Amino acid sequence: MPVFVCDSEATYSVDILAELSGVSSDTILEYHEHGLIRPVAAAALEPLYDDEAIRRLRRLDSLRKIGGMNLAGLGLVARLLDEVEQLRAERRGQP
Amino acid sequence: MSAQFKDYYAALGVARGASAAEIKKAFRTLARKYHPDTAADTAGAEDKFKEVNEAHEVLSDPEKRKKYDRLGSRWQEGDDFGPPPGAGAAGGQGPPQGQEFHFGGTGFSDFFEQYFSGGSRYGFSQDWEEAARAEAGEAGRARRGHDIEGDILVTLEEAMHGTLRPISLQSVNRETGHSQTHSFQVRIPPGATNGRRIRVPGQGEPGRHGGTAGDLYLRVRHAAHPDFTTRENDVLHELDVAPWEAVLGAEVVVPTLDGSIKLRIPAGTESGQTLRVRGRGLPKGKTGERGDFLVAIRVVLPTCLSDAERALWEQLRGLSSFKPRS
Repeated sequence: MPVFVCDSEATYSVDILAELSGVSSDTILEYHEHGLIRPVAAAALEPLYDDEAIRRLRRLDSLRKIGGMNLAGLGLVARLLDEVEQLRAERRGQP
Repeated sequence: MSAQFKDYYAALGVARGASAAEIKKAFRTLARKYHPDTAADTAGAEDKFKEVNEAHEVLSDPEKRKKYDRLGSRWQEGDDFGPPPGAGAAGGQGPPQGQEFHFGGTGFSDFFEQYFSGGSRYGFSQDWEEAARAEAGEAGRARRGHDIEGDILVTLEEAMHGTLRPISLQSVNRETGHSQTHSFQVRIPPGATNGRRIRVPGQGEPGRHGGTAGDLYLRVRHAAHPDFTTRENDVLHELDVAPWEAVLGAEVVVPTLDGSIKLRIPAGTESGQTLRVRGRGLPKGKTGERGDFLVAIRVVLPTCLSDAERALWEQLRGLSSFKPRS
């Protein structure tokens, strides 16, 4: 039985992120410029992203397919979903 | 393939209509009673501890509790209980049709995994179904498998130091009955905060028509601790102090996750005030930086007074010029 040891602290460049998320590099840069995803390290040479960015990108991609939204719409929906999750956590007493 | 129903209200010893405050109080008492460090009788304590944590996980969350109450009444009526259509690891809102997922080693029961685990997909299950239908319409095209999400119960000690947890994920194709189990170890990094997601690549839903598999996201859930709660990287502790300690100041020994510390209570500390000990919380990544340790002060009063004590308090009442209501 294979054993995978997962390192949850890995970081990825834009190109690797594109491969992992299935979203093109150009789209990633566009999302980055509009604040839809944020790099972990504001590195000098290039932005590096973590696993959370992969999850967000796939979510954005699915949202785009569901809603056919433009960038502004995507950003709004993504922020609303974040807020809902945050509010739910607060309701449980775990901010 | 239905899991056995769990009576979470009985597990916490509260009535079905219990308030959030009652649930929280019952939980804290029982968590302290069965926590490995404080349990008097260790024999059944570990199972009880998990049960109490799981019950709290569901009953303290308004959405989950509503769902649980609905499930409970249907169970009573003897409804035929297959998992809801489209149910997966994400508690009924996961990958559509065909695949069923069962976790092992997460610290939660099969019942919890089947109905309450994972986040709701994007918050809105109807949209998820629509998206799935839209994608399914692209017949023959290589499609990446969906991501699935599960919860994993992590103790504060594990969160503090990190740990390697064995997890197994069984996926059952409902149409063919074919099942496959993948086992792997997940590294919980030091400082894994409550709610943080850990990605296990390629362990999500298999892809279609040659597409790659989706990923598995495990959401960290901090187990109860009799002395501490967490908020992001900060560790919180409630400390009861005597009135004279609050008024005059005192030095008190306080437990933390890594050893006890001597805490200075400044003179004039009010009930409800929080004292902050920097850098004694959970680690923040690899930098060596840590969150803070927050001590919430609660002034508690002596109730059983000897005659001598009572006399002194009455004397103080006579002498004092303190006017709380002016």
